[in-house]
Amino acid sequence: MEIDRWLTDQPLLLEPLLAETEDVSCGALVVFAGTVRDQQGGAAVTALTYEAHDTLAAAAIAAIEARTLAAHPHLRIRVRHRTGALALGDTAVLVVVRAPHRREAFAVAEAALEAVKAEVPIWKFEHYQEAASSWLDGTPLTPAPRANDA
Amino acid sequence: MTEGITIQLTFYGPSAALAGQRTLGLEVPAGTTLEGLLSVLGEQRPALATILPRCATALNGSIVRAERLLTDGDRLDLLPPVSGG
Repeated sequence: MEIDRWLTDQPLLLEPLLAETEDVSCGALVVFAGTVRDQQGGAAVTALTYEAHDTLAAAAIAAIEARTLAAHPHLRIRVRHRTGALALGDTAVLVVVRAPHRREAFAVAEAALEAVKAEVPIWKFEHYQEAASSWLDGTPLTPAPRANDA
Repeated sequence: MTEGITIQLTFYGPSAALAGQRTLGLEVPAGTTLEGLLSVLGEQRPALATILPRCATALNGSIVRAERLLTDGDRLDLLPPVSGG
């Protein structure tokens, strides 16, 4: 599996994802970029670090894309997540969706991002100005209904 | 005497800090299930006890359920609640 297609420790670039998803049958393009903000629960954040289980995280993002395309074969979607050390303002995740019309593009982009937050083994470690750094609590992963299981 | 098997654990995200290490080779009796191993782990690393019930587990690269029977040399990844995006 080409992990770099879905995960990278380098700055995320929008242009390649726009090029990959070009489709003149789509009249709507929605781009979501999640960026590092300077506050969390009232505490001043100075930076953060994302750790991933690389192979499972890439597979989970690929599955989100595949599931989306199975349900909406006429649209285009790409999702890519950053790992490693990020500074304030850096882009942590990009979701690019092209659809024939805007309502579907907005809805699919939001659903894909929610899936990333719930299904991808990535962990956020926040660095604060006036407190010890800490891991954010998150959403427990659940095995897929038809996981490769005994 | 029951033969032992060794499971290679890798801790991800907050579980590594709670375990005090990134990896651990844990010996358990043959016939131990994943659920049984997590129980042993919780006894050996009490700091993990609060997070273990909320962790998913990947066995040899696939996310699996706790009833799974373990075999010698299995690689088990501990995956705490996720916070990407």
